[in-house]
Amino acid sequence: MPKIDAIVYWPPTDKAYFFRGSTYVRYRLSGGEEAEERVSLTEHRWKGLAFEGRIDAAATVESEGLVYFFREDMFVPYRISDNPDEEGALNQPPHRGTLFLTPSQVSA
Amino acid sequence: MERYSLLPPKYQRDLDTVLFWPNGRLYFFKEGFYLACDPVNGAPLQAERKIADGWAGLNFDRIDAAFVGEHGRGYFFRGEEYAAYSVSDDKALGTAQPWKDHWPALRGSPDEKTLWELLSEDRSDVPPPGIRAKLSFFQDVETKPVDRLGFLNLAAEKANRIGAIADPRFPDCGLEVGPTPYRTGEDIVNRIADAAKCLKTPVDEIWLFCHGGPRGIFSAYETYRGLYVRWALLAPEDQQLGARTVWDVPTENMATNVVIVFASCGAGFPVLGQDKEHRVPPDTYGPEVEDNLPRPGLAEDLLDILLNAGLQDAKVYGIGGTGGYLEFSSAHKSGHPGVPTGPSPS
Repeated sequence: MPKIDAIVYWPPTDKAYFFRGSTYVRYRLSGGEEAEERVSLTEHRWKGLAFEGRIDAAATVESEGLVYFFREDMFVPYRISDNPDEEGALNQPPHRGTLFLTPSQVSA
Repeated sequence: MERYSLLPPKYQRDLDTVLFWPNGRLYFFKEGFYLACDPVNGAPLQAERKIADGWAGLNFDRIDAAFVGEHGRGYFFRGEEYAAYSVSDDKALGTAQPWKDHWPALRGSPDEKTLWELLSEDRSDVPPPGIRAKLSFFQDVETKPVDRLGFLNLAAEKANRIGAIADPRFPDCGLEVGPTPYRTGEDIVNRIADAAKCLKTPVDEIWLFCHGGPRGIFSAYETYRGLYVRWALLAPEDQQLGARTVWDVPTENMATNVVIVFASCGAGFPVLGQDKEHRVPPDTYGPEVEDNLPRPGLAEDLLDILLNAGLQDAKVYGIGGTGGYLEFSSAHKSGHPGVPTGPSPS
């Protein structure tokens, strides 16, 4: 039974990404109901992602152009425009949000 | 990468789902509960609540994954089911449904696979980069938690450094980097074979962090169920419960340049003859051996097995009399001081 680890939906391209283990499947949510090939976690859309084996969770913040990936006690923001190869991805620089303060910002 | 430091400890690791909701709040889901947070600083806005208490009509015991889609709808997935949720009405839209039939249901042609089919496929043939045919074992000591933790920490650090596959159990390969617990010699033998099958390549580096002596390395238990020299006298019941000798090591699953490191006491020592005057207590150094002759210790004995199996560039390391490592290899069959390093190119 395929348990899903996380799902990212990116409205500007209408693409949904279903993550399981070290791979993900992409498909267009409202266009054709057609799943595409399953590829490794850090290929194509998520090239350079710091987590390779799996992720626990992912939170999409469209207004910031960011997806936050979580694993164990860490998270890493992924800026969608840093990998603009994918068809339809945003190309303008995103607004960098402050989803979480770092410990140094808290003490400052 | 940074830790997210303002959350309660429970929500600082191993989250099920994180969801940025259109009301501007960030939701963390873990097990049967969730926590609503300020997205700017990650500070909790209220105490954690049960999922069903804050998400009307959402009756999952926990959430695997969730996202906000088009038309003001959120989608929550748990096991084989999903539920749609109205953002404006703040309640679930009907009951949970099997997602197999809905995400997506149609195929463009009979050759195309559905999302369910794609996600169900066994992808153990595609190991992620960074995982290598290496193992970092630790003695999963049952009786002494402090010893177990020490071995675990050493094995975990080594595993990360060399990219060792974590606890492979073919066909359930996991495909992560990490340490591998062992409780018996049989576990060690089986995990080596599993690693080779999972990664479809022979194992070329094995570290073992454990207690031991010249006659072998010890099991998780206070009986002789570990891995020992060929001449060890093993009780039949211990053999049934997992005791093994170096004869049982799966050389067919090892690279010709395999490196095996016993990070235990005494594997580099020879087994001394057991005349009565110099007899060492077996409960300290491992099981007795068959005869009174001096015999090779664990590292030297294993090297002999490996060389006879054709693994000509194999190296085995064990700690010797000076407290430093000895290298046992075709060039130094009786041992020679040497620092354990990874396999050289074969």
